[in-house]
Amino acid sequence: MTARSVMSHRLHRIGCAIENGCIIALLSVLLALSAAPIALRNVGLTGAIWLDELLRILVLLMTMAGAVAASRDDNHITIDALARILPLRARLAVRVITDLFTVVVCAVAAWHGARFTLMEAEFGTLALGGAPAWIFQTAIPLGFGCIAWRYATFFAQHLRALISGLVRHGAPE
Amino acid sequence: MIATGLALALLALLGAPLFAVIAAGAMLGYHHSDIDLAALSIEFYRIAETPVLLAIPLFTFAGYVLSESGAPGRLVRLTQAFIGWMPGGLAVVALAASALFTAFTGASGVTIIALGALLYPALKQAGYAERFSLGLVATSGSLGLLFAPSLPLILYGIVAQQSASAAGISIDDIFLAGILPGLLMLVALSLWCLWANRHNRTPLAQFSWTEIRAACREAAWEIPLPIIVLGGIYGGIFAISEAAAVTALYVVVAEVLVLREIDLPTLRGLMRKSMLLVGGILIIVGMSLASTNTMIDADVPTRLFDFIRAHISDRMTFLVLLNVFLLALGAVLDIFSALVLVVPIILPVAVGYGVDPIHLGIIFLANMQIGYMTPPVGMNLFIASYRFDSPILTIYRATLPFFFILLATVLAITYLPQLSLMLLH
Amino acid sequence: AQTIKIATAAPEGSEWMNTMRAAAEAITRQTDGRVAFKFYGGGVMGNEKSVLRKIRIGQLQGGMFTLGQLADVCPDLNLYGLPLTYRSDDEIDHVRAKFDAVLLKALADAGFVSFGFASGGAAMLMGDAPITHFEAIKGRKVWIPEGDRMGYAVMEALGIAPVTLPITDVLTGLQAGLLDIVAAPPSGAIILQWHTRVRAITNTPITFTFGTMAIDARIFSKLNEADQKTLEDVFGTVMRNFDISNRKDNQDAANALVAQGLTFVEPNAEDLEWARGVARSVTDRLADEGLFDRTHYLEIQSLLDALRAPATP
Ligand code: NA
Ligand code: NA
Repeated sequence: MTARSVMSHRLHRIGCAIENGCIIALLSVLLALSAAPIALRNVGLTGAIWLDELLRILVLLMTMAGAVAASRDDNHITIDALARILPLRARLAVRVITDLFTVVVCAVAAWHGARFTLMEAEFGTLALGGAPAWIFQTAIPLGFGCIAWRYATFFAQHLRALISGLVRHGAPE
Repeated sequence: MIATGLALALLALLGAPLFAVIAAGAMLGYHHSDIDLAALSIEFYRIAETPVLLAIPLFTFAGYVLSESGAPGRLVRLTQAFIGWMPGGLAVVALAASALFTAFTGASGVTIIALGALLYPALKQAGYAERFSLGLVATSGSLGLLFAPSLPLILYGIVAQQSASAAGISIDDIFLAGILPGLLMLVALSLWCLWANRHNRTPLAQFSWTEIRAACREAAWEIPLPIIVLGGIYGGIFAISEAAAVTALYVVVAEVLVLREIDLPTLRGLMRKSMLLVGGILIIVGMSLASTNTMIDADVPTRLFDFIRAHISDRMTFLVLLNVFLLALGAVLDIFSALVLVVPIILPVAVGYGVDPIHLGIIFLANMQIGYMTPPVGMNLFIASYRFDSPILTIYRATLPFFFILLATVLAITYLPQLSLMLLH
Repeated sequence: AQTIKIATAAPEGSEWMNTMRAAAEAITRQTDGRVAFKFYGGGVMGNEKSVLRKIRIGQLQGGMFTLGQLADVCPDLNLYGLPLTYRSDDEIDHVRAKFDAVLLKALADAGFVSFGFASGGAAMLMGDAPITHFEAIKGRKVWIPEGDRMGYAVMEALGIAPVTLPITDVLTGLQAGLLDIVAAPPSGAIILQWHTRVRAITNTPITFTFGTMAIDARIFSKLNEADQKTLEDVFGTVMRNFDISNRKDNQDAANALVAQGLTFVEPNAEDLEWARGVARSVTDRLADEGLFDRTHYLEIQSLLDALRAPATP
């Protein structure tokens, strides 16, 4: 193993740990907080007024964390009706195209998500009765950025496999 | 416009992630209408402004925990004990249980995840054919939409009440109206299950009180769940919107802390796995919000309806076209967007043709229910495909007989208004 | 031609939408097609926060809001929603005679042109049993819409633990006993069917609600002066008519509720005085915290005090 691949391997492991930690922490908080209002109400206490909003924000954060994790596992919902019936090499070529498409879409979503977040920061939108909303909104560009990065590496992998296949077997037709 | 639509459809068929395809459609739509693409994020952020979505991670997690525990086995034993002597018994129980579950969870595809994960292995274990089981589970995901207190029923009532043409209707009436049509769907599907399995030689169990007692004792921690959820809602302990939280917490306490069937590393794995699915679903929901928004901005639903209205002469033709229109709509839009978008437009027209506003609501929701399993955007088909790791074409094929039976019941519901209105008068 | 796209939570087919569309057509005619409108009803453009964001990026040019929803961009709009402050229609009318112009100006400073406010009526407490004492509400489950900061602060000060639930859960919540008490104007209670789950209404305003249409000032300023005037005239008339007809609708709704067997009960005077005092100290504090303009707040309070003072010969 070269020093560079050791480095990237370590980075990958750190990335995975952060991702899994986020998911587990978010879900634990979600479970505890979603039941809290019921418990409080039935003992005659008042819940925090911003609790419902916090729960919904957690759902958004969970969406992004889960979607990034789904990208890592290459496990997003697809309708691959056509792709399944294609021969292996054609499937690889198709994968290269859909990977690139996904990278572009997610990069655009991340870019405009960042613009959105900046606009909200400039405007000073508040969440939870006082916190700046952009802190939570950053999850959108961050999440799409990570997904774009994920699919960029898929793209590189599949392209390399396709080219080496072509070199080995000659171009089709 | 049409060319880009076809290109996107092709990309989807070639296996591009669905969320990316829908996002690309939304981006092109915004671009076409000269709208700042920041609108995409504004719509996506509505995930954090839509209270019903909270139920999705909670029910999904509860479903994963239940299916990883010994609960599916205990449910099979319990149902076998009660109706194992009847051919098709477990299939019928699967339908009824799913309907009940959907009535409370609002048909967001959660039923397939939470119950399907439990029923699919149980059905296979009980000797049902794989394709039949898959079709049954994917179909039952939207069953129960017509039973109170399903959120779409309530939403229809709220939307309709504020239209001048239906100001007097009450939500209780809509609840009553949904009962018979909902039962019709349940009965029709049950009969099909019996017929399809008439040659199924799974050994028929004998009815035995001892076995029932033993099965009940074994499922002592699962049986109280529906009682707690129903009792809690109708006893005023918590709201319908909080049922998911109670369910998730109860399941964790029962299966992890009390029964100790799931150890901590497994629980961590389940958390990750279930939230991966939640991320996969909600990112599509968020992008659909944006693509729906581009359609609204461009007046697509209104234009579609104007086109239909121009070709209607009488009530019967109207109902036929309404069915066609709603089925097409259900094939591309989610139920909540369809409710708020289309009900206000068609309600005055329908009332003008002599359709009762309550009947219209049942027609609308029954059609939308089928929409959950109509390609291309049949959310339940995708979820089933994803959850059970089966190709989408296999799922399409598996649900086909169920689809046609539901279609027949939808026609009956549409053309026999008495079915919906009988209990009201 | 300038197309002005307006979002609202009011459903398609509602009177509010029909009237607005008719007014919009009149404007298009009078401006020779230079100004056209598109309405998006039923809340399809999202909640008020989404609508405001879409106005900022130019996807929409306006929206119909309750004043509470616009308070994020123009805090002074909270002033008409002060809980337990206005004791009657006459009192709010008295303040509005002077302050409508002030609030319109504040809204303009925040970048929105509005043509007037339409009252949604006085929200009153309603529940299964008659409520004559605020003291007696302690320990009961009172619904409050999410994010109503003023209402929440006052309820806490009164010792009431409010229950926040989505509005769609209120009806079943009342039925199941998850909620005991809600506050709504009579016409609103009928639209939401809450009147089927309550028996008694306490005959004193808890708070007043108002609706308005706000248009992006950047777009409005692009119109020529004559067209601006046309918008002001037509929409101004519409808002005034709504203000009048809403009051009548509420009166009719109250009569209908009585006809259906609901009872209106009078609050205990002493207890009400205590609750108003508590509310006053809370709103004083919120004024200090800057939830709305303190000078305006004090001016309103002194207007009300003067109105309540016994007439001197
Ligand atoms: Na179901
Ligand atoms: Na569909």
